[in-house]
Amino acid sequence: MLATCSSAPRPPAARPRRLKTASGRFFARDRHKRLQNQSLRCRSRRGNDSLDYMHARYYSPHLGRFMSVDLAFGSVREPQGWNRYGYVLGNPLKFVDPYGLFPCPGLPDLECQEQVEVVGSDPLTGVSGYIDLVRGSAFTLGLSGAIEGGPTNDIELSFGERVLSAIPTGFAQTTGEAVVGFGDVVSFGLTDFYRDQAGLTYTIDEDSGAYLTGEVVGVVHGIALGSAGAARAAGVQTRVALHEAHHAFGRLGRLRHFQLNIWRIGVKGSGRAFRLPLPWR
Amino acid sequence: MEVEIQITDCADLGRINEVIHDHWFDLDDVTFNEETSTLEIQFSRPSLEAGEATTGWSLLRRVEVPYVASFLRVHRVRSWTLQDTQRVGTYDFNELRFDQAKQRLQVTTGIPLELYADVEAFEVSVAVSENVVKTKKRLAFLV
Repeated sequence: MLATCSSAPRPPAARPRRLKTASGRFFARDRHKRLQNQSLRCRSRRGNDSLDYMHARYYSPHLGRFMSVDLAFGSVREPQGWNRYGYVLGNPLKFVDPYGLFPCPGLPDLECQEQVEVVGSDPLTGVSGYIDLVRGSAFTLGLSGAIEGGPTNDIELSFGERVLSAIPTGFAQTTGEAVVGFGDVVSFGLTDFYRDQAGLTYTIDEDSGAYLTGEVVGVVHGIALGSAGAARAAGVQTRVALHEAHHAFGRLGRLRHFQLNIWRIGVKGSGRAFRLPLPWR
Repeated sequence: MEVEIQITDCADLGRINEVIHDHWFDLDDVTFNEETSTLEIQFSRPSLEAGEATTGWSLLRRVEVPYVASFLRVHRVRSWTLQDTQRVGTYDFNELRFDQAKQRLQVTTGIPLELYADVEAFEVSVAVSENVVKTKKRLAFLV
């Protein structure tokens, strides 16, 4: 391979903007370190067939097109992008495509110092994840679709810190953080450990409210699941229902309440009822 | 003080539910009188009069609450069905529901129980007697 870009020392990449101050860890710290250590940043050319290696796929300078389909989807507002073999929307004077994924305005050297990720979430399960397009790795955030994210079909196609596609990203980020928080709790921290060990690039803010919410949901989920499992293992049946304000709670008066019934099938007198009042009638 | 509530309009079911809700009954105390076509469910509930504080401090006191025999009666019953799948013996009332289309009065419980009566006409009564069947001690706050 022949490198077509200089591998001379470059100024260090800009430090990531989001930092984790509570534990002293940086967000995307591995990304920052890896970028600084990266010696060959741009495309290289295969000697025999004269194809340019563009990270995600090969590009033929003689044909003026890529040799395989684009991994990134085209934009509805940019019909030129629907041709997933085309190069930079047919406008090489204005755009470059250092990763073989999408046209980027600006100097290629600058963009080469950054990472490309697709962050998205499954609209059916609410599971979020990202694909590191440069390294070809993918990571699913969270363990399962236990958290229904609702209409979480936001897709962020980002280039470093810059979001290229004009699609709202907050919901995907928030959902991702909540799902990661949930996954970290129900896996007893194994997913967090895995992310650290694998050196995965991620942008999850573990101090965010969404992450904390995910953790709380994970704890509640674990307690409920563990209790239900233990009760079932002990042969105890349970039933939870929302009751109207028939029951009087001392001086609080009659309030709506959750009622938990537990009993053991076939055991006379084993029925019990517990009530948790709600703060309204 | 004995109290009896009798209703013939299903819109008044709430009055009955107020009396029976969350109180326990034994399946052995469910009887059907064929002569009067009355389904009777005996249960116990705290006396309508206040319990008597016995021991304790100024804020938290132990109170003895007398439970009195009470009766839920469904009149003019054509047929009734009881399916006890859980075999627990005692069940707690949730509420009565009346299906006008089927003329069916269903007793819903916290622990699952299939208990309903098909009636000729809606007529339900509940009686709270003065006969104390047991006493329970409870801790009460600010009594």
